[in-house]
Amino acid sequence: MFNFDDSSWREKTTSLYLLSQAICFVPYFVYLSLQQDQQLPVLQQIVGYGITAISQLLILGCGYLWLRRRFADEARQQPDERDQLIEQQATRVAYGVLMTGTILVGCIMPFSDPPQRIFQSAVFFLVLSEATRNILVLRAYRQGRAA
Amino acid sequence: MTGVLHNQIRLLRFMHGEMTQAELGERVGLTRQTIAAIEAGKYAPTLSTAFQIAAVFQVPLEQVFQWQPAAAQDN
Repeated sequence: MFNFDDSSWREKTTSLYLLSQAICFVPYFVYLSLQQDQQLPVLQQIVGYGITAISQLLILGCGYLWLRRRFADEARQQPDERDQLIEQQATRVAYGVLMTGTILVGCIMPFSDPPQRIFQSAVFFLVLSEATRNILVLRAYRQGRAA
Repeated sequence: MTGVLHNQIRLLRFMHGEMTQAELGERVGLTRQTIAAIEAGKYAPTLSTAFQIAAVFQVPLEQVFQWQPAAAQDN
C-alpha cells in the first residue's frame, strides 16, 4: 500500500507537480475542447492560458513550501544515483513526446490549421511531455526500481 | 547473459548493531528509499556504491552481493 510519508522527496515533489497539472490543465483543455467550434478572441486565449499557468504556479509554490516544512530533512538530501537514473530515463521519453509534438505543431499544422489551434496544440504537447515525465518518474519510484 | 543480483544487506545491517536503512544510506550517500530498493533486489547499484556498502560493513564485495546466472536459478 502506498504511503505518502514514506515516499522519497523526489516522489513527493513529482506527485505535487502532476497534481498541479491535473488541477489546472485538465479543466483548461476541457474548456477549450467545448469552445472548439467558436473562434475565441486572442486576448481571451491569452488570459485563459495566463490564469491556468499562474494557478499552477501558486499550487506548486504553496505545495512546495508545505512539503519543505513538513519534510525538512528529506528536502536537504541531494539526488542519489537512482534518483538521477529515474530522472534521465523519464526525461528521455518525455523528450520524444515533445519532439513529436514539435514536428506536428511546427511542420504539419501550419499548412492545415488555424493559429488558434496551433497555439493550443503547442501548449497541449508541452503539458503532455511534462505529464509523461512525471508519470514515468512516479511509476519507477512506486515499483521501487530505476527504469 | 541474464541473472539476479542477490544481497545480504539486511543481514549485515542486523549484524552491525541493527543499523537502519537511513544510517546506511547516509554513510554511502544514498536515500533510505534507494537502500530499500537495493535490499529488495529491485535496483542494482553502481560498482562504486557496491564497494562503498561493502566498506561500511568491512567485508569483501562478494559477501554483500552475489550474482546468480539465470541458468543456475532454474536448477
